[in-house]
Amino acid sequence: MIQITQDSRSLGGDPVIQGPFARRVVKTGEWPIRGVPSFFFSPIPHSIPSDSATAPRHPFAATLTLARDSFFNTSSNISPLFGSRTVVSVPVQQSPPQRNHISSEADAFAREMGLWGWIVQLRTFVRQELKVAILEIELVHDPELETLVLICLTIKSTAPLGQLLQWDDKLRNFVCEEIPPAQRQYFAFRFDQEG
Amino acid sequence: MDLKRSNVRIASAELNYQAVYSELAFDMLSNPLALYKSLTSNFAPFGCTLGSLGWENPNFQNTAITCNLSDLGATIRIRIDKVQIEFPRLHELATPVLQQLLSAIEDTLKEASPHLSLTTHLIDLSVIAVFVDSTRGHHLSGLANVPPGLGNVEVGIGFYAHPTPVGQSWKNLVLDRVFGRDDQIAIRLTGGIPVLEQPLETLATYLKALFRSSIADVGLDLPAGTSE
Repeated sequence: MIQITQDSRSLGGDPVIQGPFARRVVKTGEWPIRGVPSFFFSPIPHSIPSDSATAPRHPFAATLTLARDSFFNTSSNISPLFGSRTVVSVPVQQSPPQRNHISSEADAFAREMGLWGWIVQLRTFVRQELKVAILEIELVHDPELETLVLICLTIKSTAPLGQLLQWDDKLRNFVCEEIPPAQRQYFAFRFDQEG
Repeated sequence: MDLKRSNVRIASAELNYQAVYSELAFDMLSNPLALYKSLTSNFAPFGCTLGSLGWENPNFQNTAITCNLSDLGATIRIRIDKVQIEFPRLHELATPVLQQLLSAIEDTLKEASPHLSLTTHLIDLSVIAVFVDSTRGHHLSGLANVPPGLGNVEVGIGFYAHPTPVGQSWKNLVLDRVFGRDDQIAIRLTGGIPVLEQPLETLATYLKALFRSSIADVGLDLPAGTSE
């Protein structure tokens, strides 16, 4: 069995054959097949297809499975055996850039202090309720109390100030309702309005 | 014999929890979509997405609908006879978070099968604790006398409950070595608690208190803190 696969993790790279021809790289857009009586070709779209001629080169996911291994002579080049079939790459929907970053120090601190569960919930809340694209989590020291270490969640957005204030209220309500005071003291929030 | 007292802090904790149903949940597993829907809604705050859900079917008894909360490192398996939850990194979760997760399980089961009830909580808690002001050898030597004929050996101690009638709570406590680390001790607490005695909505707090009191009984004290 041969599979051509490329997923969104390999951005822009050529699909690579897995299986007996593992070291062969196939040219994007074409896959030589001729006279194969039994095959399945199942592109797995990540989004709505658009005009492939004008669309920039996008990652795509496609799996080509040739059901009968006997059609392949593993010792020779496979190209002469088959004709050609065009594989149309399916563009990925251009969603806003997502950036969720947690520094290694903040990660370690949260886990050590038993705060990781709150980090997960806060991150999910910011993602799902505020629909904010960029969230950075870092460890900071309180400027007034240097011994106090805080986990600072920085939310970056181009939204207007009024929207940021609404989000701030939502976030504060969530924190006050969900997180007990003993653990709440370790969290700080910052909203950065990006131009 | 005076009990030696030592202060320890938790380095890691793993909980395997099972809740046994009062009857086999054929109805619930025959409509898995309802169960998936409940799981998705109740565990969304913990990072559950459609990709977190799965189906295991090694054989009929072990058929399970699974929910893998990768951010928390927790896995939930809803089987035909019981629900299982693994928390391999329990020490990273505060008690209220554990309670929220257990409550979410309860809500999920109620939504998916309103008539289903739980009978027993089965817990298996494995903890690695670090001695703050003592060593394992020093502490355990106060709990057991090693026969001289055994030579220079390391000590592990198990306290096992007598067989109990169905419907009564029981617990076992094992104190063991961590190979090559005399500053650490492996503590394993297993037990069964009837749901009538301890409802699910307060189980996390109960478990915390149970663990604290159990190790206090063998002279190990935990500091007050958030990492319990």
